[in-house]
Amino acid sequence: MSSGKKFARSREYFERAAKVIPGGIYGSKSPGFLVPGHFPYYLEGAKGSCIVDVDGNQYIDYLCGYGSQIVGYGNPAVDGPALDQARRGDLLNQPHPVMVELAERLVDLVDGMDWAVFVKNGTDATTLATSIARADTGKQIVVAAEGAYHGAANWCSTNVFPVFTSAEQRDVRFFSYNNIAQLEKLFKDNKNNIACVILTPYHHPTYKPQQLPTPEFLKAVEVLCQREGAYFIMDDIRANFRLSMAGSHSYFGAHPDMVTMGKALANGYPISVLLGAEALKKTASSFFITGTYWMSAVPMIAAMATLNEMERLGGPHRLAQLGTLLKNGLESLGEKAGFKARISGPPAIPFLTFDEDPNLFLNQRFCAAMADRGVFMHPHHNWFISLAHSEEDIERTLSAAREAFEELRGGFSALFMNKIHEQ
Amino acid sequence: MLMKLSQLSEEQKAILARLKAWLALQLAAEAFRSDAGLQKLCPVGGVSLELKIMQNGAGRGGSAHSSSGRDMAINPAASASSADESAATATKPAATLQLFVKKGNAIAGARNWPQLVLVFPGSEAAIKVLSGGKGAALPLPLSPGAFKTLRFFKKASSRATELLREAQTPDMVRARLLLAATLHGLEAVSGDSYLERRMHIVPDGTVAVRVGQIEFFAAKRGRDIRVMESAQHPDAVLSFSDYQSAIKVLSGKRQAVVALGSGEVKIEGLLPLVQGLFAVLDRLSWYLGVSV
Ligand SMILES: Cc1ncc(COP(=O)(O)O)c(C=O)c1O
Repeated sequence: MSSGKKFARSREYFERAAKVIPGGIYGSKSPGFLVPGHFPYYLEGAKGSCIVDVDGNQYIDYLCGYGSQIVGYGNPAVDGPALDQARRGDLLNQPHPVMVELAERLVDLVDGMDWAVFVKNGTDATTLATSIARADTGKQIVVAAEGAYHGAANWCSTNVFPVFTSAEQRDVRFFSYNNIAQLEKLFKDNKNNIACVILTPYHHPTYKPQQLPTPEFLKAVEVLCQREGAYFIMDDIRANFRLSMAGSHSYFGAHPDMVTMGKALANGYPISVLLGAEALKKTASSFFITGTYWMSAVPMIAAMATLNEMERLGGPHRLAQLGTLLKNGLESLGEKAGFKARISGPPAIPFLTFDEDPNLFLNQRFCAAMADRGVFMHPHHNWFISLAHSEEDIERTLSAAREAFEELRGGFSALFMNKIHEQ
Repeated sequence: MLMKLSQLSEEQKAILARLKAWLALQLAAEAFRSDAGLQKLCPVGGVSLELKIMQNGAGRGGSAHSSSGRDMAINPAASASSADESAATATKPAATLQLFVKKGNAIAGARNWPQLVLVFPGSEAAIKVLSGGKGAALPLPLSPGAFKTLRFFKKASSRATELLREAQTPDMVRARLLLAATLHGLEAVSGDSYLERRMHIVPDGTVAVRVGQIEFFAAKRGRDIRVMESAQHPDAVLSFSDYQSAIKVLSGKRQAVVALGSGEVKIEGLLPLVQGLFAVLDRLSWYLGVSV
């Protein structure tokens, strides 16, 4: 079927959208971030590991609502209690008691954390974390890894307009993830001025292979932060509970002072959290923290149910098992087809790149070919495994991948591969 | 926000002046390449013209330094795609732009001893004159053919505008003119300090821009963008499905995002590089929207 027909309604909506919405679909969901002609622009539903677009096309989904789905779309164990609460009232004048239960549960679960503040978006949590670190230390500078994403607020977004670079972004300094010498130099050059280092548990930049922390890196961050009087913030919003129920820092043996979580926390219901160590509780208490929707009950009920369901379905162990199956399968199919296809990052949050093509032409072709075969894999952003994926899903994915690699090898790629190999 | 010329800073005026001058020369060159009438009109020995824009407040004529101290030159010679020319340009007055036309060939940015130098006493004068308004421009003849050169340049400039407007202009010619204007426009504004941080985070690389028989390459290196006629192994490819789509998008009649969504525009390869060019494109539209 021609892509025009296959995505007729998606395109129709997009044309309408472009008239009344800046960019049609703004930000990371913009069609240009995928491969137009091969991916839908609008979805209308989902169940388990499967999504359905407005034209009725179905896909096994490896984006999981950008990581927010961990126990599967429309999981009744989560939606049941959540919808029940929705009928009895979501946003109330005062918090619902579940807020206390959820805070207790997270503080119990997540290594080294003693208090919790609930917000809506991950950006709210990372912004609050860096603000608390700055207020507590009285220091200005926030240190982050080049290419890391911590949200869409002016201090951390890629909206690098001069009005922001000379204000909110002026006090953010960057170093290469895993590069201890660069971090040491930043501390030296900004003596007594660094409030915190904010890092993701492993590096997951867009458009690039993912990078795990070297064993000495996170230790060095801790030592430097302690020695120089700066806080260490672990931004665990993307990985969340996919690596460990005690938080990804626990998985990598790190000891941050604050941890931010979001996305999968409530299986897609809007809630994020900032967790902190006792030492910062006083400063956090002195902050005026509020947002109209920040204490709504439904997402908190959903978070409790999601935690239960994650535990029941086997949690990070099961995700790693499924992810490893996918990783091994894709790498070996890629190799058989003559490509240096490599999965980077933890198996539960994989990303495929081709060593021979850092510009991602092959990624785009491969993911387009997968989408043509009913598998939604993002060409530029890491993927996610959920507990709703099954061995059968992985098998179907690998059989589509066999054809997709073949397609890459033939036709267009004859010319293209020559170019790559010449380089 | 749409700006008026009087609201621009000196740096912005200097960039706008060079943008206008650069586009005038590039479009004249493009018109010459695609118009037999102009080719006939060209004197046998060829013509060469230099536009020189004196910078307000700068001691030496033509030196254009931004407030950050960085040379804001468009480096027109470099865009003639010769490495040694590019190196030589570094020592030339910044706002010196040349058009050289001879034997069926037209190159904006060639370094020659020009027949005529058109001197603008400042950025504002250049902007006004090159926008078709009134302003001071001093012709400095350096050889006997100087005034023929000036006539030819005026004719070529107005021919470019006609080609863009006339219904009978073949789509390919119109698409090429628009593409050349857009890409050379990027060249002219890429050094704007407004884009400094953006250019820093955008990866270096070369984008091939294709439609039908037309192919240009835009190479981004540090804070500069250079347009080239040929390059090997582009890092990204931006292609239009046909000339009409290119014309609609480049003339602002069709939103680029809609064209992208419908498949009329396709982007492959190093996306952040292309996104970076889009940011420069936004800046170019900002400059072109300044009311003079
Ligand atoms: C590591 C990380 N931090 C922060 C954020 C921002 O979260 P949100 O989009 O909910 O504001 C994200 C979102 O992708 C993320 O991956």
